[in-house]
Amino acid sequence: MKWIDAGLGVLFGALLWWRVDVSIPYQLCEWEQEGLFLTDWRALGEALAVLGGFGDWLSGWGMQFFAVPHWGAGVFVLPVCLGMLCTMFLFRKAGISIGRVAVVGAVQLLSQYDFDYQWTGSVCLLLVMALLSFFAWLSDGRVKALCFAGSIPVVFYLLGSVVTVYAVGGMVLFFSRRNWGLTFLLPAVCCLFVFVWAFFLPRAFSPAFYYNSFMEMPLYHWLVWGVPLLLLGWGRLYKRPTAVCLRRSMIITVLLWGMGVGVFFGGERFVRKDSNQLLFQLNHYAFTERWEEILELFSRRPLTNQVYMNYVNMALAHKGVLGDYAFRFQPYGTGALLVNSNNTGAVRMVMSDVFYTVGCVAEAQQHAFEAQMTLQEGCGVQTMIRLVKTNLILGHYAVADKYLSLLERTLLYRKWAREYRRFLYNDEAVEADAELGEKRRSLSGKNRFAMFYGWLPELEDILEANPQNGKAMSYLGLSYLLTKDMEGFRRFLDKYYGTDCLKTLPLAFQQGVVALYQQEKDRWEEYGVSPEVRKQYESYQEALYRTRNNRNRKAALAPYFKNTYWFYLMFVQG
Amino acid sequence: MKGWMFCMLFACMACGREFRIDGHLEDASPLEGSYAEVVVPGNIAPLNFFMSEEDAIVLSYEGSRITALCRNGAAIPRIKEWRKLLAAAKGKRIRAEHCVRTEEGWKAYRPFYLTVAEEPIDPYLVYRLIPPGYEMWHDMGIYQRNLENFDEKAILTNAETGRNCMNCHSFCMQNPDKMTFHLRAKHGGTILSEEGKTVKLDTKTDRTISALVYPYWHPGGGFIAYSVNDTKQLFHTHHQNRIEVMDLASDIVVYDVRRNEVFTSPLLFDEEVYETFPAFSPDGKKLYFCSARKRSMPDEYEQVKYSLCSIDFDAEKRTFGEKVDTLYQAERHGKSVSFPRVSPDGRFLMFTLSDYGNFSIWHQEADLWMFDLKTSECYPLEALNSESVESYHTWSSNGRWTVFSSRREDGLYTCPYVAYIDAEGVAHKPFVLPQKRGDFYKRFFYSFNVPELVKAPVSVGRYRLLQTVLQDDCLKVKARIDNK
Repeated sequence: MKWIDAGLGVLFGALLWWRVDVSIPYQLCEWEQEGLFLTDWRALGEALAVLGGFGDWLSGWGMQFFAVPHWGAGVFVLPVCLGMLCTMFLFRKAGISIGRVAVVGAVQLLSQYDFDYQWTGSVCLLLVMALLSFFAWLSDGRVKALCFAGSIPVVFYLLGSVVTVYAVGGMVLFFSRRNWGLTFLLPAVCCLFVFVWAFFLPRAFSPAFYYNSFMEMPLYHWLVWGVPLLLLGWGRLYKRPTAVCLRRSMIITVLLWGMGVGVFFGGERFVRKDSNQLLFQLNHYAFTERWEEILELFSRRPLTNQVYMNYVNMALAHKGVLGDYAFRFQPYGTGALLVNSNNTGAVRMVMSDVFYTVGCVAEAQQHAFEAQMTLQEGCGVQTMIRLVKTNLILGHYAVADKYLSLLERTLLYRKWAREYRRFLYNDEAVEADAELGEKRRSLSGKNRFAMFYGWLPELEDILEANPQNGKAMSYLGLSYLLTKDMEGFRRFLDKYYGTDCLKTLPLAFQQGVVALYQQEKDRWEEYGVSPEVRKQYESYQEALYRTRNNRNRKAALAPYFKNTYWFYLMFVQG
Repeated sequence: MKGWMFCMLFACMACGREFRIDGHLEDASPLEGSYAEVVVPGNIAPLNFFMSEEDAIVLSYEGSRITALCRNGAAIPRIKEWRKLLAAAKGKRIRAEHCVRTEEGWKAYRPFYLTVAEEPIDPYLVYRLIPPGYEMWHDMGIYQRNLENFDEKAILTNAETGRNCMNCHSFCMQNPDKMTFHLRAKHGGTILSEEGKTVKLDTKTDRTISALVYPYWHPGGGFIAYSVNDTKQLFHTHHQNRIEVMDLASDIVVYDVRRNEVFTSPLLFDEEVYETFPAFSPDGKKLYFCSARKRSMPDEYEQVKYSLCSIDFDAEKRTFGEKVDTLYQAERHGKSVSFPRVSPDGRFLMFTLSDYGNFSIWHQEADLWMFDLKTSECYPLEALNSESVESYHTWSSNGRWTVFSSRREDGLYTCPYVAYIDAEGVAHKPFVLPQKRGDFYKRFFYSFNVPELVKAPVSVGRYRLLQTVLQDDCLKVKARIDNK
């Protein structure tokens, strides 16, 4: 029977791994980007000085690798799989059918799916299960009881609130009526000591200890602790018949593992938020500069969200085709270029990305800092890298040095940090760098209050400082088009058309010219409107005429012209 | 590898034999700029002498000599040896020799001297630790640091209070038993702690433009002067200052602790004037404050210049003087005053001077100045100022020490600096608050905000404080203000 359990267990583990790998791979990347794990001894010392710090430190080692394709998912499910092994051992000691670990594992992984629940909670749960297994394996009851009781405060200090599972589980497992003083009273006294010690600490005995402190933890996370404890208790209390038919056992075993699969897949769709997964994916692509993949993502699905539009437009800008293809993705309003601010980390980070793209370095820095403030640890790799770059560009070398020193203490980013050291106090190197140099050249000599009058004046300042900044040029022109400010667009053309950065007009701008000078075809010539655009406009005019009495004019025209500025101008609310 | 070998070698030498200086260099030590002629209190924790790894410092006074090897960026003497040396050299000068390891052995630069003052510093410093952010915040807390060693304890952190904002902690005459601070966002209110009793106040009234903001205790403890401010924060796109915080309106009121009400004078409550940063004189008979003409904001933000003013105050009658005196006319000098703080002996008034505005901690040009209330002389405290921000300062209870905030390390993260002010109001070279590790400030990502010296540890129990903070009920403050 144990071989059947083992086989089903391995299959179950593989299934979990596969499911995590296909359903939340970018959530894992987001965790990695929002963390900043320091690998030096000093960090361990600092971790050990804090309640639960050791658990955090240990889990930090694993989280660094979350972004590694496929293997990251394996690391993620590892505490669940290893925890199931330990729980199997404990269940056997308690006389429970070990197939029930499938439900325990399923519930634990569902809990882990919650983005706000730290993986630390699972790692710590694994450790206490392993410790209980070790004590359960000891034969000397007295030693077992003493070590267990004595380790309760240590477990609390090192691992945090999971001591609740440890203490309750241990007392249930090791309780003996004959030695009730050792197996119950002594651990209870140790628990009392811990309780008094942690009296002021919020969440000290709840799974919320591992939950985002800015948020309210959903109650279902209690199941992760409750289910194994209840099963252990039931196993100790309920006497089962010793002789059981093999066939019946096999059927029950398969059903139990099947139940685990059912619980996991049934619950997964409730705890996995698909909208978040897409956002994580976009953020990861932006962080790793995979612009083509962002565009491919939305070639197959509609863009319904301004935050997504920000990513798409940024990707187009980085590929140098924003001015051509902006309307291919049906934007609405200038929020499609720069979303309105709120206090979520995701919005602040995309705002930082957009500002950085165009060259508004101070704002990019500001929003990266604000995004950092929303992170659980107050510090993340993605935000820190942005802050290094913005401080280098602005010449704040001492601050950049400080941030680089932090990144040098990580495993995966220390090489990057060492390479970037060459920019410190070296204006020449910064100005020669393709990325940093372009941004520095875009620093305006003019100062304004950021976004006080909107960002158009700031984009103009950037272009004044660096007329070669094609991205700022595209964003500026598109801002006028998206707000349907044709007078502003006319001024934009007057000022910038024919300069180095706008020698020829991209597609959307040509369409804008046609819209602006509908009756003045000689102006079209002047602005180099292509024959294809003219022909398309003629088709549009004909279609307008044909559908002049059609109540569903917009729907009738959309299949053919929704990618044009003229359609936007006429039908889309900004 | 080489460094470790030197350290091992030195450790062996230190264990077995006395440190020996094998030769002398005629050059001045690179440390002289920072440490020569620094005055230290006799009860301060060991200084951090920042130097290259493998260097060492030898400190001596008459027969006593101590050595410290540089680790993690600073040579920090052992606490017991340091205390002994300071006790022996009280009121005298300690000789310091910065030593470098050469092939011929340890060689010492030209010696320089530190003076140990007769007067001790108040043993505790209370400050808020907060990342130098913009609008949002994460972790923050109010902490107290024992200046005689490296112990730091949290008085309250926002991890316990729903991640809200806590700010503007203030003490009555460096007395830790009389404390006030504000909470913003969750569990908002003002906490007043006196002799172990705590109360939570709702200080917003229909007569004032905001809840109470910048506090300053009356020396008798019966009143607290506050500003009320309508504040706006904006961010620069290309400026040496990242952030601009400006008042759209501000006034000053005085909170009567016994009667739980605020009152004021029309001279402190003018709609056409921004009055802020109140500070009582040590005898309680004068209220100093900053005042600027109202401007069209934010367009004219650079033209807002705060003058240093004062008005008489009668604590018994709860009345103010009939006129406002101007001690420093901002518009004449083209500068702006903030954070006036009078020394405990009433002789000097230290303030921050910047080009404009009042939120000087974000002004790179902000410097510390002194106003001699006896002679009316006004002068910059050159010894304390740097190219970066110097702002928010506190006096010790004996009036001989000041702790102020400075961003001179990197231009962003504020560190606390300690400096001696002699009886003539002359400031001596400051030193950064010593830490246990030499690389502390390089690896610390919080700013030290509003440093306040206190005479003893804050005594209010943590449980009681937390209970008060978390309670929903607040004592509503009344306003005895005529809005004419």
